Amino acid sequence: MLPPPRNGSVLICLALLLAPFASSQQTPSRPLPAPTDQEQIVAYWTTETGWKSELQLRNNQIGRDLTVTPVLRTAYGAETSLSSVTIKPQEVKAIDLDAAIGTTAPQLVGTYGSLVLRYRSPGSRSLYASLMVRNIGHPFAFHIDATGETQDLQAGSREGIWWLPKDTTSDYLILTNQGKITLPLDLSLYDATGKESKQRALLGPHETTRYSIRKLILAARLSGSYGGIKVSAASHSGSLDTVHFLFDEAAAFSAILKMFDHDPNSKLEERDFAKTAVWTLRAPMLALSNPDPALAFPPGTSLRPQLFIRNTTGKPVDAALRFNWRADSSSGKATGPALRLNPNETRRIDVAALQNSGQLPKQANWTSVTLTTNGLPDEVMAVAASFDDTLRYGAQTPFSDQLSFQWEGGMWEYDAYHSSFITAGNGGTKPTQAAFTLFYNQGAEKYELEQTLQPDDQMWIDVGKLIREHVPDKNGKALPADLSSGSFEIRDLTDIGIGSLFEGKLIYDKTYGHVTYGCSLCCTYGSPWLAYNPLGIPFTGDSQNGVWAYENCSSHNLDVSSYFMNNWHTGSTAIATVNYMGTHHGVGVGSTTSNTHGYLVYGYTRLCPASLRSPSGSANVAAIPVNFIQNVVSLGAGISLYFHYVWESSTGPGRLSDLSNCQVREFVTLPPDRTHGGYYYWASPPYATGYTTSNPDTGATPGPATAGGLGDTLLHVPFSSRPYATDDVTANQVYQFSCTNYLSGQWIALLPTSGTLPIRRVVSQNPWQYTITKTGWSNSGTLP
Amino acid sequence: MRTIIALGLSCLLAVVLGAGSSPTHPQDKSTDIQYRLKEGSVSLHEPVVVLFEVHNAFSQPLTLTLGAQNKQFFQFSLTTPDGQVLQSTPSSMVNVVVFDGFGKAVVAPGEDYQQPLLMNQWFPFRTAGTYFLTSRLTTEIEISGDGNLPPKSQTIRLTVSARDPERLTKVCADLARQVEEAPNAEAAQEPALKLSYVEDPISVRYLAQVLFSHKLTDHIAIPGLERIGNDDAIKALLSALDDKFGDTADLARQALARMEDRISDPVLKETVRRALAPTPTD
Repeated sequence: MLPPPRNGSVLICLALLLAPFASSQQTPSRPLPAPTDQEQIVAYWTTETGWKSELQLRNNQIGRDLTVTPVLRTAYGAETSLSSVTIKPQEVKAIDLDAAIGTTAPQLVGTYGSLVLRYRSPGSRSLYASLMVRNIGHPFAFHIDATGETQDLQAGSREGIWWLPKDTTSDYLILTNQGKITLPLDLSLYDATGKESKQRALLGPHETTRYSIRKLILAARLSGSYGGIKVSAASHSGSLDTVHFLFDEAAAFSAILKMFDHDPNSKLEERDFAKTAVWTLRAPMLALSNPDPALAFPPGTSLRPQLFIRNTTGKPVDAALRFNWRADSSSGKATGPALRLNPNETRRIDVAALQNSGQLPKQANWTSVTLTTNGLPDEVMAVAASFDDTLRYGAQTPFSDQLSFQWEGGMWEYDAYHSSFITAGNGGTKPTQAAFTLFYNQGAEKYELEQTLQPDDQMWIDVGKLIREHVPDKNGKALPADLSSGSFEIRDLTDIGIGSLFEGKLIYDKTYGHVTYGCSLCCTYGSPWLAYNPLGIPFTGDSQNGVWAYENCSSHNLDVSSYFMNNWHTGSTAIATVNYMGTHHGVGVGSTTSNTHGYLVYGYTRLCPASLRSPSGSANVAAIPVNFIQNVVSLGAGISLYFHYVWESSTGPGRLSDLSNCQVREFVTLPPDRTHGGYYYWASPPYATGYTTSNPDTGATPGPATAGGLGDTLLHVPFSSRPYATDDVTANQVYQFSCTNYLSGQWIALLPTSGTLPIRRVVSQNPWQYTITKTGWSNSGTLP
Repeated sequence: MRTIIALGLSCLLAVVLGAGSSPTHPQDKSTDIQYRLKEGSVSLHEPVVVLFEVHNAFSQPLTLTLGAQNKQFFQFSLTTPDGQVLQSTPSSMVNVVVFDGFGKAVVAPGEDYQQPLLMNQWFPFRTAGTYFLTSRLTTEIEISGDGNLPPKSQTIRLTVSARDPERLTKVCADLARQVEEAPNAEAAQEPALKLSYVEDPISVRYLAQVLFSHKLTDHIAIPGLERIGNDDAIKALLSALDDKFGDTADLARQALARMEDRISDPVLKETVRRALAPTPTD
């Protein structure tokens, strides 16, 4: 209870809550980038006799549908739009091009070209797309990934390997110009020793040209069954895409020979994801001589795994091979041969021979292959193939140097004739926690697994087995028994900045005994930014800054501060200092810059390179109000309560004038139930009619923080005449400050620093009485 | 819960309510209290500023009780050119915050006190012509140790000339410049307040300029734009929805929500409707 009033007033000095010296930070909020027009391009489609093209589209975004318009380009670049397709988050949709073309575009029947996918989204990687090319009645199936045009890549090349295992083998080398500028190209073919045959080619805007390597080899009088391909452009090479595949009706065989971009200006640090100082390529799922029974090849089938490794440069390069093999119940590591490749040489490595010689166990079913070089990225490329002697049965696995924190996978399949293997491996040098998710039911449901992976370890997912055996996920959930397709995602939970995971997917088709591989989409970040810019730092106080970036697959903003630690600095240590983790300390009132740097997987190119990024911003050391305390409470006439508060400047006692860029206010919210159009309507009775209060209400504030104190009188609107009615209203009050040079003018709570101060106004009866209460202090009076 | 029925008088309310205060002192002719128009003349839609001036001819200090923002306890009556009599509405605030250094003013013997009062805060001056303003500080003036002077009314004549776009533009530009060049947020408040009461389409671009200068005047500029309420003002408020400074976006959103029903342009109305529609969060 308050002491009795004296001389008509009561002044009570109270030292109540102290506001913390450095005010609490708010959660940084930044909208996603505005949706913009995006494009991905598939280098080849065909509706020629016997061939079928199926487009597979997946929406990688969280919580947003994605509408994609496929546009078919003829070989000459003429465009025809197909119907748009809307894809739910994580859903994968298959579109048969024959059906989509229908009868509306007869010029697209029996021909080929490239395909553009147009969509609007904040991030270019919100769409995963690939095209499956199949041939009716033959075991020909391969996938072609959609890619974006890399407009700033000038001189560069596409590098490949040709392989003609039988005289009956046919092939296509497809060159597509994704851009609007004609590309003059050099097409070079090499035999295994590096002997070159070069010819010129011209690729008009959006054009697609198809070559037969067999014919070119014959014309060039090159010999052998394998060698190299280089398609180079002196400029705009980022608009060039190429695909090379083989098919053999007689042998019932097909294969895709993955081609690689070669940017001569690539830096090792951008592509050395594991920070091992050597450039590393991996093939995750090479089927060994003794095939996994899960592949359902006929009993007794023996595969002949082999690698084709090519030096894409005119100088010798060294390469080394390692294997991480696995059998039904065992696994292990093996070192392969070290190679010195002559200029432009292509060498075949017979992995089956390594098994026969005991370097790899004969009983092993699978191996990942790791190839390291002493050169720059893409100076060596490799293709893996594993087929039986007839080429009828077999599988492939692509090489890639990419490690990522997140992979968005395409379609997996499971039915009586198909099943899917998916792997995620740790290509880093430290253990990592990998999360694997299968999405199904149009992306609405998910099945989640997690596993700690030691360096070089892989998690193997046999999707058919998970379904058949009702294997529970980490949440105890089993996949429905009738599930037949969906999409997937792999995430590195330990390292979200660059990541250390590689991936692989195989889908086998029992109809033909054929296995195709699919690639996933690596995710990148946009330009990182400082969480607070400008950062407000209280004089002699601390403020934490961090770094955020937009992740452009899932389309959300992520805190990536940990990748920018140890690199913080400020422009002037006389104004602010900063420690290794971005905690800034205000030394002197003023403005300076704050910077840091770190590596993130960054960019919008075809690759996902690790890139050094240097976000920077302003740091303002400001005087802010501190030590906000309630020092007086009194009861007033008219059944009121009076509170007085004082504060100081963070620059010290007696320095209130330093707060001239700050304002202080009260912020009061009233109940929503009687609020319309921004006004709270006081109940009548018991209050007189027509009285309203703004809701929220800042009363006669804000006011100058230089005042150093304020008095707050809590009143009531006039009462109605009798008869009265009871009423009970609680308003919630916070005292706040805002400074132009601190946290972008955000209003920061002074008292209380969290929550609110309830102000309760009650009209009760027997007798009719009004009571106002705040922070334990009350005043009551009888109604007139 | 501590409940006190007894009434105490707070420092502020003791004077405000005046009950049981000391006997009043007869008006001293040598104490000059007057209200006058700050500028010799004003044109339509310009800020109308009246100066409240007190000269202390006593040998003791005078204490003026002005209330919140140094304006709470003034009362006005305005006779418009067409003979209408408008009364200022007494404050119905339920939370009255008075910052230290405000609310009361002490005038030393022989000294003068001056308080500018932006009359547009109380009355809209919608037409040109002659107005009569009756002003009164409703609280007594305390003569230190010698009683109180009772409230005194005074009527003055205000002539508002016809709208002068050129002059209005200059006034707005000058006020906006004062805000932008203000050495600190505190100094920016008064010119921003005056500008916000220029209820004329001319002021919209200047209010937008002030709003985006980030001088903690958003709580002043946004109601100004809302009062004008034309298409340009709405567009300025729509732009403010993307402003991350302070409360600007919230205040703009609240203003647009209040204005939505009176937007006549269907395209603009739809734009506002979409802008106010809930959006997915990050």
